[in-house]
Amino acid sequence: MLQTESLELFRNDVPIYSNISFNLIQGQHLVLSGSNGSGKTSLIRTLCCLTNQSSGCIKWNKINVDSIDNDYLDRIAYLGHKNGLIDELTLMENIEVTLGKNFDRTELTNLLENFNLFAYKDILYSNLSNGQKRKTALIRVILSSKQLWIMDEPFTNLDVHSIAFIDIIINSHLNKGGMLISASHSPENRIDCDLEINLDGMIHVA
Amino acid sequence: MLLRDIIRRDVKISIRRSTDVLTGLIFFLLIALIFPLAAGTERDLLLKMVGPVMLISALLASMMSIQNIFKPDYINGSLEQMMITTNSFSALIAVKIMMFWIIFSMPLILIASFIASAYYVTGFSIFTVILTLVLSTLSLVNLSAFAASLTLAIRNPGALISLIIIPLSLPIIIFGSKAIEYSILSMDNSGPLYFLTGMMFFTCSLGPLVTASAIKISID
Repeated sequence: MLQTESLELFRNDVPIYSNISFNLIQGQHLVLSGSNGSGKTSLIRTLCCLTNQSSGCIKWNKINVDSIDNDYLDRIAYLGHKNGLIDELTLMENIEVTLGKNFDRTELTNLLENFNLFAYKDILYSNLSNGQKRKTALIRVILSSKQLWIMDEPFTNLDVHSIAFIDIIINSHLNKGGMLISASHSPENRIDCDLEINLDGMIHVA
Repeated sequence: MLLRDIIRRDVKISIRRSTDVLTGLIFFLLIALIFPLAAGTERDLLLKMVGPVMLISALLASMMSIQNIFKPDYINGSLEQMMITTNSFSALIAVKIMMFWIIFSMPLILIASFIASAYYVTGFSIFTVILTLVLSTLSLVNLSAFAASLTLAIRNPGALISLIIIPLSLPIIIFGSKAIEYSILSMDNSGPLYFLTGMMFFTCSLGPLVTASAIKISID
C-alpha cells in the first residue's frame, strides 16, 4: 500500500504542487491529471524518490520510503519522459541489459508480437521510430515483474492498436494485485482509474 | 539491478562505443610519444622527463574521456533508472568507476609500459612505471568521476572539469613523478609509493560516495 501525507514541493519558493494526500491499495490505478506545467512530472519523480519533497511523507506499507528497512525501490518500475534505453544497443539487448537474465522469454515474445516489434528486435535502438522506442520502454516496465508501475505520459507516440493492447496488459496487472500510477494531460486516451488527482487547481503563479 | 548486470552492461556498451575509448588511448599514446621526438635522443634528459610526461598524459587522457562515464546515461535517462533499481547507489557507482578504470586505464597502462622504452627506461624501472600508473590512475579516475558528476547537468563542461581535476590531482602527479624518477636513479622510492597507495585507498573509498551524492543532486 502506498500512502502519501500532504506532499509539497517548492522550487525557488514557488510551489510546484501542494497538499497531495492519497492511499493507493492493491489493484488500484491512480491517474494524475492536469495541464502542462501543473506539476505531474515533479510529483511522479517525487514518488520515485528521484526528487525530494519539501514537506510531507511517502509511506510504503506504513513505513517511510526513505527508511533503511524499506524495500520500496524493489517494488517500483518507472517509465519517465526519457525512455532510459541505450542508442548503441539493439532492442533485444536493451531489454536484456535492463532486466538481467531473469524474465519470462515467452511473455517477451508475446509482447513483441502484439506490439508489432518482433521483426525489429535486432535493430539498433537509435534506428527505431519514437513509438517503437516508447513501446520498448513499456515492455521493460511490464516485464520487470514489479508491483507498482509509475508511468509518466505512457501513451506518447503510441498508435491506437498499441494503446488498446496496453489497456489489456494494465487490467491484468491490476487484477493480479498490481498498482499503477500514471500521469496524463489528455482525457481521451486514458484508461479506467480508481483514483484521480487533478493538479490544475493547485497552480500558483509567483 | 544487480552489480553483475551493470558490469555486463558497461562492457557491452563500451564495445559499441569503442571510438570513445580509443580516442583517449590514442591521445595518450601521441602525447607520450611526441616528447622524445621534440626533445631529442639525449638519454639523461629523457630519463628525467619520463615520470612527469607519463603522469601528465595519463591525467589529460582521463580528463578527456571521463565525460563518457555518466553523461550518455544521464542524457538517455538510464542513470535515473539505475538510481531507483538499486538500494545502494554508491556501490553501483563504485562498480561503474572500476569498470571505467578497467576499460580505459588498463589498456593505457599497457601502452605506457611499451612507451617507456622510448625514454630508455629498462629493467625493473618499467615495473615501477606500471605500478605507479596503476596507483595513480585509480586515484585519477575517482577524482575525475567526481568532477564529471558535479558537472553532469552542464551542457559543455570541458574547461570546468579541468579546473576541478587539476588542482586535486597535483599531489598524485608530484609523488607519481618522484616514484618513477627515484626508481630510475636507483634510489629508495618507497616513500612516494606509500603516499600514492594512501591516496589510492582514500579516493577509492570516498570517491564513489561523493560521486553518488553529486549525481543525486544533478538528477533532482
